[in-house]
Amino acid sequence: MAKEIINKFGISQADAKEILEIALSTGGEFAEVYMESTLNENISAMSGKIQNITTSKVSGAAVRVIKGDMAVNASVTECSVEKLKEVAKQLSESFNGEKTTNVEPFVEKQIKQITKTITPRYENFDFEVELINKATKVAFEYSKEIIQVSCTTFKKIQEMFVFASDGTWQGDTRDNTRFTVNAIASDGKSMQNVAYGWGMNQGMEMYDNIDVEKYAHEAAHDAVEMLHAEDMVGGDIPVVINNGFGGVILHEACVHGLEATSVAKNQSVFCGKLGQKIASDIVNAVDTGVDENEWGSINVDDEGTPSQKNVLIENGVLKSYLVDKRNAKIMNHPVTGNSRRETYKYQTTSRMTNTYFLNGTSTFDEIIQNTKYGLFAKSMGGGSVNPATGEFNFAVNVGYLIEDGKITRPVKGATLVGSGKDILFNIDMIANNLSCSQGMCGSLSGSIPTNVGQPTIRVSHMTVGGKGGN
Amino acid sequence: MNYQAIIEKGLSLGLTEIELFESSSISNQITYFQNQVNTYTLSNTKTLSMRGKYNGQMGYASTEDFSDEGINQCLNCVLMNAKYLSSTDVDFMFEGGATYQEVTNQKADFEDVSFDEKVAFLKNLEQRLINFDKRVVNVELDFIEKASKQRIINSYGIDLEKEYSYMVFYAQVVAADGQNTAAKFEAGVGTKFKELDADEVYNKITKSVIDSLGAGFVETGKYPVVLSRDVASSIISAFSRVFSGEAAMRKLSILTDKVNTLVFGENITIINDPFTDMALFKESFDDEGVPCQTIEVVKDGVFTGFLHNLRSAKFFNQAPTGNGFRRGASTSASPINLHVKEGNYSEEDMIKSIEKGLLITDVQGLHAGLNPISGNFNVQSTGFVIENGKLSRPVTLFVLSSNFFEMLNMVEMIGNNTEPNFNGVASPSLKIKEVQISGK
Repeated sequence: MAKEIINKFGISQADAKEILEIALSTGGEFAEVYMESTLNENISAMSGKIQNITTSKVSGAAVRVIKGDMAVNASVTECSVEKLKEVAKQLSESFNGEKTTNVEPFVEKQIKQITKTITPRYENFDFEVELINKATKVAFEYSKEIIQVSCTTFKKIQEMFVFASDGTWQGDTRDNTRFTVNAIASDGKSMQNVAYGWGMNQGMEMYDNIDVEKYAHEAAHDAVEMLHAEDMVGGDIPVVINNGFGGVILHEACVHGLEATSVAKNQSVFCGKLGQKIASDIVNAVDTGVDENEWGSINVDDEGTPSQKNVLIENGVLKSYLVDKRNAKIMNHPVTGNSRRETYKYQTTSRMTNTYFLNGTSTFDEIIQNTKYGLFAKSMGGGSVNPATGEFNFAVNVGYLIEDGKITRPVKGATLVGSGKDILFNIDMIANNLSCSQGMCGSLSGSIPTNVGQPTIRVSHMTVGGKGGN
Repeated sequence: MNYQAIIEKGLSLGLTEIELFESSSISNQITYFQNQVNTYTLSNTKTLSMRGKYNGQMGYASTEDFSDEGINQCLNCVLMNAKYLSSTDVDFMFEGGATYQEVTNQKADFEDVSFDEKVAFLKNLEQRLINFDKRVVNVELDFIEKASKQRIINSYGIDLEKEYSYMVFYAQVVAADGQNTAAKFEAGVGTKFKELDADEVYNKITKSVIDSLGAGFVETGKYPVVLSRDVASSIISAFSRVFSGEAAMRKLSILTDKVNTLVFGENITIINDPFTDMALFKESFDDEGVPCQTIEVVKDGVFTGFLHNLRSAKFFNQAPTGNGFRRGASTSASPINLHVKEGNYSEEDMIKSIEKGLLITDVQGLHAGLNPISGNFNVQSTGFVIENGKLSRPVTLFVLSSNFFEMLNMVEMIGNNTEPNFNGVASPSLKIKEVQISGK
C-alpha cells in the first residue's frame, strides 16, 4: 500500500530523511510530512435535471515540527522535494537550539485493511444519472405536494502519505461515496424539506447494497408529513431520540468534549474526568475507525497511526479521550488513532471516526409505551456544541408527539438544547436497535466524514424549543 | 502560467466559452496559550478553477496540480462534466464592455511587522485577560494574517484581478466560579497592525464573560426581545439566500412571487452595497467579472427584486446585478455586503423600553436549526433577562423560535450601532415586539 502511494508523490526514503533532518536541525523533537492527492466529484440534480457536476483535485503537502508544547506547521500546494526542503528549513528557523533528535529508520506497519474498494469510480456518470432519475421519480410520485426533488452524489478519493521522524511510513486511500435525496413539499403557503441518503468508505459497489428509491420515498413521505405538522410547543419534557442519526446527541453533547483539542488545553467540561462517572449506568459508548467500510472508518489516521476501537464510556464511566500524537505527550494519554484533517491545508488533530452508543436492554416499543408525554425525535438535523461549557443544540427534522405511551401527531420545528454533562445522566432507557448514519463533521481541522449512531434512547427531560402554543 | 494557452487548448477541445478563476492565498496564524506560542502555521496555497461551455451546458472543474498533465485533466473534466448536464438553464460568460467603479481596499501591513512584535501583542493581551479576574480560568488567543488574490480570465478577453488582505485576532476566555462556567469569544480585525484594537476586545470580553457567569434559566413564554447586533447579523445572514435569484429560479425562495410587495415592516430597508464602509472589503466586480452595484433589496419593507448572477438574470430576463460569487468550485447568486439601514436607537434605549423581556447576546446552531425555505428558525440562545428597563440576570440554554418574515414584521426599534464583521451581513441591534422562548 505505502509503496504504491509514495511512488505517486515521487519521494524516496532518502529524500524523506533529508527533509526531516533539515526540519529537526534546530532542536525540534518531532518532524512530519503529510502529502495528499484527492479527487472530489460531486453531481447535483434538481427535479431530474443534472444541474451541476464539479470535479476538483486537491494536492499538496504539510510539514510540521514540534518542540515541547510548541508546533509549527506549513501547508503548500507545491509538493516537490525541493519545496519541502525549503519549507522544512523555514520552519526550523522558529527554533534556535542544537540538533537533539535523529530520524528513526522508516518502518511501514502492516495493517489489516478494514476499508476495501473494488471500483473506486466509473469512467463516466451514466450510473449516477440513472440513480438520480430513479430516486427523483419515486419522490415526485409520492405526492402532488412534492414540488422539488434534489439529489446529490458525493465522491472523494483521497490518497495520503505520511512520514515522520519517529519512523512513521504509512499511506492510505479513503474512498468516500454518498448519495442524498432531498424532497421539498409545499402547499402554496409554506415549504418543508427532508433529506435522506447513505454513504460509506467504499467504492461504487456500495450501491449494490442500498436502495435509493427507499430513501426517496421516505424523504417525500416525511416532507409531506412535516408540511402538515403542527408547530412543536416548547418546554422541559421527556425526549425519545430515534436510532441512527439520533446519535448526533452523543457526538455534540459529549464526544467533541473528549477530543484532545479541547481537553489538552483544559477547555472541556470533561477534563480530569477519566475513571469518573459522566453518564448514567446504562450508557456505553465507543469511537471506532475499524468498522468495515463504514463512512468514518480509516485504515490509518493522518499521522499514520493505525485506526482502532476506543471505548469512551463503559457503564457510565469515562474510559478514554480521543488523542493525537502531539496531545498524547501533553496529556500523558495513549495515542488513539484519531488524528484527522480535511486536507493538507488544515493542521491535523484529534477527531471522531464512527461514534455511537452501544445497545441497551429495552425495546423501542417499551420506550414509547413507558412515556406518558414527550417528543419522539424520529430524524435529527445537525447541531453544535461549545466544549468549554458543554452547551449544545440540535435540530429535530422529523418529530412526533408521544401521548399516553403512543406516537400520535407529527410536530415540526423542534430544537433540543442542553448541557452535555447533564444530559448523559438523564438517559434512562436504551433500546436494542443500534444503527448508524453519515455526517460531515466540521471542526478545527476542517470537514471530515464521520458516522454518528445509537439505538433509540430516552432522555428523562430536556429543553425542547418550538414556536407552537400560545 | 500561460492562461491564454489554456484557453486556446479548451477552445480546441470543443468548448465554446471558457473561464479561468485563479485563487491564491498566503495565510499565517499564531496561536498563543499559557504564555507561549502554542502553534505557528504558515500556508501558501493556490487553486485554478475552470468552467467551460459545451453544447450549451457549463461544466466545472478545479485543480491544484499545475503540471501540464494536471491542467489537461482539468480541461477534460470540464468537457466531460458539461456533456452530462441536462440543465434547462441558459448559462453564459460575461463578454465585458462594462465600466467598473474603482474601489480601494487597504493593504494589510503585516509583512512590515516582525513575528516578535505580533507575539508581544498577544502576550500583553493574554496577561491582561488572565489578571483581570481570578475567575478567568482559561485564555486562548489567535492572530491570523491573510493575503489573497483572485484573477478572472475568460475567452471574451475579460482579465480582472482583485486582492484582499487583513489581520484578525481572536480571544477565547473561559471563566468559572466553582459552580458555573462561561465561555466567550471576541475578535478584532484591521489592516494596520498599530491600529488593531486590543482594548476594545479586552473590554468586551471581560465584561461579557463575567456577566454571564451563573446564568440561570428562563421560563417558557412569549417575550419582547432585543437582538444584539451580532445576533441580528447572524440571523439575517443565515436567511440571506432568500434574496438570491438562483434560489428563486429553483423555487427555493419564499420570496419567489413577492417582488414589489410589502414583505417586512415598513421600517426595514436592507441594502446590498459592495462599496459600503459597513463592510470589511469593498468589491468592484463579482466572480464572473460583472460590475457590482448598490441595490436596496428591501426598501421600506418592500422587496424590490432578486440579486442576480448571469444565469439567474437571464432566467428572469433581467440585467445581472453583479452578485455571481463562487462557492467552492461553482458559482451562485449571493448578496455582497448586505446591511440593514440603521435607526436612531442605542441598545440601551431598547432595553429601557422593555418591562419584562430578554436581551439575546449569542445564538448557536443557526446552521441546523433553521428552515431556509419556510423562514422558521429555532436557535440555542444566551443573554440576559430585562426587568423594568434594566438587565437583571444572565440566562442560558433557552431556545428562541420565530419566523424570519414574522420577525422582520415586528421590529419596533432599530439600532444605530452597526459594525463591520466577517458575516458579509451587518445589522444594528433590533428590538422585536414578541418571540417565542422555550426554557424551563
